[in-house]
Amino acid sequence: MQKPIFMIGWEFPPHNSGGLGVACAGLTRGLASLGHQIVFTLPQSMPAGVSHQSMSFVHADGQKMKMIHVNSFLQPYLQKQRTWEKQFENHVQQYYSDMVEEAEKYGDTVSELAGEHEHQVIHAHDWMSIPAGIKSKQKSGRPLVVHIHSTEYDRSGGFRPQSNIADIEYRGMDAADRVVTVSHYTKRMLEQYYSIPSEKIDVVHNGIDPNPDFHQQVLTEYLQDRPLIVFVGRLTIQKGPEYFLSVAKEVIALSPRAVFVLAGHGDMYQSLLVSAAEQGLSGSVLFAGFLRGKEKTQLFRRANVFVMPSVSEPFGIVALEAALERTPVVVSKTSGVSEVLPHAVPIDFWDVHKMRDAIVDLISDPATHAQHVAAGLNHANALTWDKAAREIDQVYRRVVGA
Amino acid sequence: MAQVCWYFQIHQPWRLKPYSVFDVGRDDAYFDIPEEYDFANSRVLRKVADKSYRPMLQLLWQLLQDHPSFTFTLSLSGVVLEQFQEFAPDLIALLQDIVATGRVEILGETYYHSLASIFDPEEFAVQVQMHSDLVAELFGVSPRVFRNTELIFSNDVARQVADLGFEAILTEGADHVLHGRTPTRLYRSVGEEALPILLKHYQLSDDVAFRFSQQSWAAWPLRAETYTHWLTAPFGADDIINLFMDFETFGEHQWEDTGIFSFFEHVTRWIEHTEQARFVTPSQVLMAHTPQDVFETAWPISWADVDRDLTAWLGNAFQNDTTQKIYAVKEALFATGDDRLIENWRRLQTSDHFYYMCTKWFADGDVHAYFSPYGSPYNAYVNYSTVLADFFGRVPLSSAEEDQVHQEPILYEKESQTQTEEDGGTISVVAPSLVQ
Repeated sequence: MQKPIFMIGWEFPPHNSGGLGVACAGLTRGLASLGHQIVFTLPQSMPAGVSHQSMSFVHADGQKMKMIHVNSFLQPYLQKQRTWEKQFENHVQQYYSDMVEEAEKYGDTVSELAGEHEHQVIHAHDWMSIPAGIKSKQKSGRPLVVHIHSTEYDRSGGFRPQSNIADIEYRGMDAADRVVTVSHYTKRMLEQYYSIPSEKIDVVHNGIDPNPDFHQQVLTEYLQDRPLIVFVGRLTIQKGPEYFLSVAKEVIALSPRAVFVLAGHGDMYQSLLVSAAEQGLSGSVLFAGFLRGKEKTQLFRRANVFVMPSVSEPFGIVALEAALERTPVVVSKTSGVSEVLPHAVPIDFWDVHKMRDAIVDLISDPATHAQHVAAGLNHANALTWDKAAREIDQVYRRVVGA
Repeated sequence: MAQVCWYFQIHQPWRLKPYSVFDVGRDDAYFDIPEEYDFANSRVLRKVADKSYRPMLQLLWQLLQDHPSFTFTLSLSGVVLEQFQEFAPDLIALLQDIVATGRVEILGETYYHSLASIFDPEEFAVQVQMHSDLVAELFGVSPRVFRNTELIFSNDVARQVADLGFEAILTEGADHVLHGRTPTRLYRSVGEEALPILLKHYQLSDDVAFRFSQQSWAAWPLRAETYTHWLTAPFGADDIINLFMDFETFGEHQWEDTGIFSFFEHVTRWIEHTEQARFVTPSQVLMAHTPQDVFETAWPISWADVDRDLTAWLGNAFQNDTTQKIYAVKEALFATGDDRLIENWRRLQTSDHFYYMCTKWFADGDVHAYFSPYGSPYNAYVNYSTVLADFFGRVPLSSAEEDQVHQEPILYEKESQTQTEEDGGTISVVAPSLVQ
């Protein structure tokens, strides 16, 4: 059965800075190939007076959907550097109160669009889309699926979660007919922090497109003969980059030629630089900035180990990207992706010594390295967006009672 | 008749190219910045040559012709002379003509405009000798008076400089060391060497170097007549007024349209026509004066920023860690006998790299940014650190040396300054030694 789906998002490639955009692209393509007609709304800054703009979007495999850009100032992530804590805190509060207002405005426009576009299911992603999801449901009376890729508790890493954001998340899940999470880890969080009944939640692990470019030539002749350990992600409290520095210090004491690279931007950039220098890590811990496309591939393919020490990571697609580039991964227990990479040693994000031992094992023992590469590839290859889309399709069937 | 000593510093660093993680292990041409960048060494040098070096040197040459008693002092780092030779060889010829008059003094300094005097006395001696050799080769003279990088001075620096055979040293007339005494006398260093010291008169120097074009300044616009009056009226025959500044003050920091060239020309002509002052060089000062009082500081001073200390280069973790690492690899580096590697090592010691990492007033928008090719001190650190990754990869280190390199830096901060002893109006302070 093919249903018209009204999907509400807030980031989409190539204008994405996080995993949500990647997930939306993968899911909509998978759903379209199952025959679903999708209308996808996306906030975008446009000239004043313009309400929205429709276009036809064609996925790489030829599948089409209707994309509607809605005029909005919604900004997915904090742009400002974390400097003086008080100032930063004020900035955080300002940012969120502005964004809450923008999310409500986005919801007003989107719900009007919901009245104009025939659909059977409303599918909203994360808090910025939730006011729009609730308002659209009020408008059309269609069932609402709320898809949680990340909660306020993840993003804040436990450091001052914004209660107004958590409240929006709760209202969305409460109003939803079904809630989808990207991992069992997140499902447990929704039960624990939001008191959402277990039976209302479906887990659909994210997928990853098989890497069609593996044989593409990229530069790998750099940092020769030196173990390369990489972190790829936003430099923000959620991702645990400071634990990456601590483990770097530990590994370098045993393997002085090792080089650690952090690829990404974020509010902790400056404080991480200071911390690296204070720990005497200049020349050993390098900051590559935000890498995408070919450069990211170049980093993964040469890397000996990928480390994701996230404090709280609902999923963590980037670990699968690393696995597909044949890079062994070390991921924290508090991540969804650890559920789909059972070969990776489960490590607490704060357990720097255990993390060090895992890394040293991987850079010094070729057999262990090879085992991890093979297992990572197997597991990552099994996780396709088509598989995730089929599971979402089941959720749709359930909410429309088919 | 007061004596006016103009000394101009000419220096440009070899700036680093934007260096990525993917260059590590593949590219050791750290200083070959493609021409399309604004801060390509060739472009900066040619720009400053057009705006400052060439017109000011021509003016100085003309003034030497017109006034037989006009004289001044220059110091040129080895790395700027390399860049003149490569990008503006006409300046070398012009300088040769100027020095050939026999009326211009050239000072000694480190070839690489480095902080070696603080970290490594042996390396310091080598770089000073390299500089003297280059000056002798290009200009046929041997420097007798020394100016350390950014006028960095301490008792320890004075001893090193005396040991190298120099007859005097220049430094900042820092209030916290002078304790109310005038900077216009010849001082001497503490200890047996008793090296004569000429002190910068920062008030009168900075009137030209920093305040000249500041419209908010009460004395703006500063007229040559007024400034000449300031130079002569308060001073007598025993006073030496040391006007020390960057050469780039003329035409680069103060643009031509501020009237800086004509100001300088008129000041010179006024002084040449007055009986109340005359121009001198440091060596002439040494012949006419005997140092009386001791100028003593264990804690290094410099002419930089309001702090007049080392915090412009060694004031935060970025600077402390990178400097200490670069000096830690010396032994293994020399064992390679690889000249290119050693030259890169020395170019990486140039103080400007560390100056760009200064975060002292970053939040308020900072004068350091004016001189920096980087958008921020954070970018400056990231780039330097990435270059270090490549550089260290080329030096075969023993495991003991590896440990040394990966040590946490000694944080060299102003707060750690401790006063220990007060003795006859001078305060001695104990500085932690950074010499390994």
